[in-house]
Amino acid sequence: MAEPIRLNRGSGAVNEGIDFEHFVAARSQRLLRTAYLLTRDHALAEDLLQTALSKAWRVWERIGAEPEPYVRRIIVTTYSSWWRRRWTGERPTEHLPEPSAAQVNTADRADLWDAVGRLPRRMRAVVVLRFYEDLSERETAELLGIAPGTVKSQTSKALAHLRIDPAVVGDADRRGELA
Amino acid sequence: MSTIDDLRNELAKRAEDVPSGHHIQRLSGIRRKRAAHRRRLTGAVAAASALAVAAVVALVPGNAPETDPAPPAAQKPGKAAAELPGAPIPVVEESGVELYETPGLATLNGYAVGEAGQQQVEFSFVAGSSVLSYTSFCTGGPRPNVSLDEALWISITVNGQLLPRGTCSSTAGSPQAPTMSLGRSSYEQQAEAWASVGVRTGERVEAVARLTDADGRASSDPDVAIGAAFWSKSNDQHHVTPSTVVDDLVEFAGVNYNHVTTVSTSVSEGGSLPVWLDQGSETPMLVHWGYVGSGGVFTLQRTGGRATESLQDNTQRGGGASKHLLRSTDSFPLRVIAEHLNSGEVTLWAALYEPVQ
Repeated sequence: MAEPIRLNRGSGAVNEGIDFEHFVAARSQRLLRTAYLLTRDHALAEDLLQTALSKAWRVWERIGAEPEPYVRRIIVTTYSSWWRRRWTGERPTEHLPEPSAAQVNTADRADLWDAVGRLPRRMRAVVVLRFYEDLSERETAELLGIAPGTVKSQTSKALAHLRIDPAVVGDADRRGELA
Repeated sequence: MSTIDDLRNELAKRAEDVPSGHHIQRLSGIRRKRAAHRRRLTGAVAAASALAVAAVVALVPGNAPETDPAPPAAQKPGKAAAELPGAPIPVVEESGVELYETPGLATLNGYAVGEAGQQQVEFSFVAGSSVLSYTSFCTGGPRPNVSLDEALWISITVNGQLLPRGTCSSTAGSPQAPTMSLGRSSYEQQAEAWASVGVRTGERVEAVARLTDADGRASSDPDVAIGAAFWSKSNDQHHVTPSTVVDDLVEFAGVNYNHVTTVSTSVSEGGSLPVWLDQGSETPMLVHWGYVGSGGVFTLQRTGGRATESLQDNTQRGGGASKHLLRSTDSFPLRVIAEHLNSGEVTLWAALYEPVQ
């Protein structure tokens, strides 16, 4: 009689630390939020997350006991490559329409969010990793595969972009604040 | 923007706006992407092989084409795809076996396909709900048309508990769908039955499929590979009689169908249940029909026309059901007729479904 063989096909990939299904169940919602902050679209975020997880699944047994940083890195790198390849629907707007008086109060939150959306993709990734994921400059650099100094300069430029973004400046002026 | 805190708050608030998706659906999407990736790889390998062969043929002296090659024939959609009344259910492929990912209310949870000659396969998965359904199958040429005594069987255990077994039937090229479950028809009853073998939502299930003979003894066949698959099932059902429930989404021949309406009535000998299809279109409809209460002969037929389908039941009390696809529903009446009843009254019921597009 042949020896029984343990198969982990389908949904049963395991590594030494955590199995794939449990990881998806426990951590994918958090990763989805990161994907959403990058893509700014719920459907694209889900697609990006599933793509990243399917890539991670193929090498799950080699990832190690803490797969989340690895999966997050796939999300960010896939996001960058997808942007170049097929995400052509989202384009920065150079001249913003003037908001009506009725829109001013409800648009406060949207202004900063829109300004983040106008950042170049790499800057946006740095902003999300630094200020949503709370990664250090060194951790962000490792995740993006760039030098810590580049993360520092990208962060500074991103904040500068946001401070001079017309929507944010307008919002601050309306509230009597200065950036 | 006055501070970096504003930015942090904004990102945190936006992130909270993300609706929570169910991880089972997410896993299903991941499987689809993996299957698509494999198909692309297979296609790329095939294309590369074809190019390599073409290059070799062209380089061999005397094999150079003397005329321009003919353009490739236009590809036609597959016969099955062309005839499907709705959107085909996505499948995953493993070792030549295709499995439906989302047939009806079920979502594929875990599966394994062994190698030829392997007597047993083990696999594990996380139960996506408290009710599972499953199937087992063989590939590689199990002997056809043998008696049940001579047939090979596949016994399945979950968490060490034996489930109702199935014969070692060939996959015959069609995708696998769940064929077996535990408990009676209601979701609660099924959940109780699955709980008795240790299946609970979100918990890992250890499954083992073994090839056996009719008496349950371990068997093997060098040409036969065995496999099994489990699906989790959601609780979207409703009663058509006090003791009968139907699913709101059902699979039939590779397409999912949504429930539209249900009719039922109690009849005695010779009575019938009218089933009016007044959709007024050529949309195919699925009729899920059955009876509860008495054995007899039950027939689905066009009014005034010939029988479409019959069920015979010799038991004193019982129930049965069947599904029948009506290719055209251009406002014609059907009825379910109860005859040769073994006792008293019987409840006839019919549920109509339309294909998911």
